[in-house]
Amino acid sequence: MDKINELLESDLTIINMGLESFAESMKSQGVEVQHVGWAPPAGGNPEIISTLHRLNNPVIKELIDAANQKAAELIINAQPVLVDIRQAAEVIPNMKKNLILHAGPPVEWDRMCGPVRGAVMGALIYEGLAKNLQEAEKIAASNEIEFDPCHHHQTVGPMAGVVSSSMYVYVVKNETSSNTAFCTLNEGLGKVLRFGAYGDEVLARLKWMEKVLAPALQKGVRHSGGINVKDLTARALMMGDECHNRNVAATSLFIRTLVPHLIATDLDKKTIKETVEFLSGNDHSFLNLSMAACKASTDPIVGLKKDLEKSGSRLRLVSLEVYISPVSVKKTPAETWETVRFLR
Amino acid sequence: MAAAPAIVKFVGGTADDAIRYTKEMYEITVAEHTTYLIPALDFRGTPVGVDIRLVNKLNVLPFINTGIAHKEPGIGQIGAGILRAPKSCFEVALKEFCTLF
Repeated sequence: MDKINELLESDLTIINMGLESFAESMKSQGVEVQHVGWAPPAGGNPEIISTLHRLNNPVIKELIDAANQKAAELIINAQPVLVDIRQAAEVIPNMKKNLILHAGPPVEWDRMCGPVRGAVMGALIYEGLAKNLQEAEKIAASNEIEFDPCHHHQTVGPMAGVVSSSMYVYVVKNETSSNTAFCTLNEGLGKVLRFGAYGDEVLARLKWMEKVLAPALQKGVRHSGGINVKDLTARALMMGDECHNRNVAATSLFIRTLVPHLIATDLDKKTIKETVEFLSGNDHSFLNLSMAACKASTDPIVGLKKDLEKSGSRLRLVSLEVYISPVSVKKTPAETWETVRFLR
Repeated sequence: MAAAPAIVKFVGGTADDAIRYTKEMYEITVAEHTTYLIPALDFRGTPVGVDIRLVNKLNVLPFINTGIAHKEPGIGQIGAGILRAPKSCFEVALKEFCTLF
């Protein structure tokens, strides 16, 4: 008791953990206090804590950490190169006239949000599959039209991510892993299909992109022999872009790289002028190229999941054997993993 | 975002926010890029590879800067902003991932 009194009467320096308000009230009373920001793991959610605990088993942790390192290396070492610009139907695997690709996971028409519905309706009119909005809505809800996530087709798209068969796409090859990814061309800001707009000006722009812009870019890109998107991105980061919502520098670098090739083709002056004006007039021109490059850079890591699945099933098999053996009969398979470290 | 302080003119916030958001992402990622470098962070590489274990453990959710579409079809983009990815995605992913082992 004396000791406690002694302690409380002495000048204290307090360490406070967790709730900052305790530290603040002591501070307001002139007590020297050091606050330590601390919160229970997973916000205290017991189910998540126990899942994390399972994954923290040394055998499993080592597998995951190694896979993570491999995944990071694949992403970092990727070399995304713009090699071509083609119509979706020509290059996207399993693309067809009545298939509409969209952003996000699988979703049927009834559950699509407004902007995705708008983009789908616009795409159906653009493709000539519907005459007007009413008809577009009707056939979108019927079995005539199929939907599938872009990600099932080596493809990405910004926002609604709607891709239909006539749209042109950037073809970006990851030279490190030899895989390819696709992304549509950027339309600009405001009233645009990717944000769910489907008015006449939106559809007219898409048609112009299909008839004029994309074929011109295709000639330029083919003449260039490939444009390294990683280089452009790295340089744009030095110039104040993040290459998602700010692409001013990257778009400029892309144009600077492309123009000599556009001029070297048989394109007429008017087409070159319109093409360069369109790209320059839209700071987001580079965005879709950036997305295709990211997709091409990250897709190879999907293969690592298969490795983990194999290792995982091997672990499960072994732990099951331990489970049925008399010495560990009380343990569940999940709790026996520490015992299989040497069996990997 | 730390590479692009001017982005906040488009998505909102302050230049300090742009740097803070990126710095926070190093807590939940497994690597740093060796080619994509950020001048404002003394040329530190961009954070690479979000680890769902770290997201769940630290309760730090990846931030997203993004455009905002009108909720009704036909209207288009109405703005841009910054938000956090929903927590439930990472909880479901972690539980599903755990079934591999």
